[in-house]
Amino acid sequence: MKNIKKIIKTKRSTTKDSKIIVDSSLDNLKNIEFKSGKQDEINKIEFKLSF
Amino acid sequence: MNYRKYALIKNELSTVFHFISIGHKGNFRKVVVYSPTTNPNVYNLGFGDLKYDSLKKKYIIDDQIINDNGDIRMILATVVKTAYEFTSINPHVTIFFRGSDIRRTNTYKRAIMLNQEELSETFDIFGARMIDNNKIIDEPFDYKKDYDGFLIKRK
Repeated sequence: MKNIKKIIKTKRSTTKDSKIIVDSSLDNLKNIEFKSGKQDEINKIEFKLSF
Repeated sequence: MNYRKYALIKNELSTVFHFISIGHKGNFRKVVVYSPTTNPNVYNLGFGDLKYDSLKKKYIIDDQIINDNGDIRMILATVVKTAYEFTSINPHVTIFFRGSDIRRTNTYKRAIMLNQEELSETFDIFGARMIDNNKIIDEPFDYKKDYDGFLIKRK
């Protein structure tokens, strides 16, 4: 008896151009810490832009 | 970027975005955060995996992780979509972004190069160079050069 392998296709939650859902609980992440610490360095950077 | 993108969830100000990367290594929660800088017209784009740090007992964004989930193009296309969304509401703001390491910064440079024509329809693109240890200046974007980051601004 042959074993039949069941292939399960995972449907990705993808879209080319769909509406973005708003969730105000994401505000809890706006001051989140970054592991590399690179984001903290941003506060010490001075932007001298030509435009 | 004309690739498929993940479905996005955002906060009301369009400064925080969340999506789930789905690939052969599993599902990973991704977060994009636009943070103000010392210049009120420049926001920093930060991006990574949402993780719970059990030592610090809080959520952090791991911007050093390598998931190798087979969907880097979709992830980058989704991050770019957040830039379109953020700047559609804040058209006067310049976005600054860089990788957490040189490899990532070069990945972003390559992504810009591959999609420069499409991106240039909406954004002016610049290379960012650090001078005097803590100052960032802009240069015209040239793929052949190395930069410390990138700057994009709506036309």
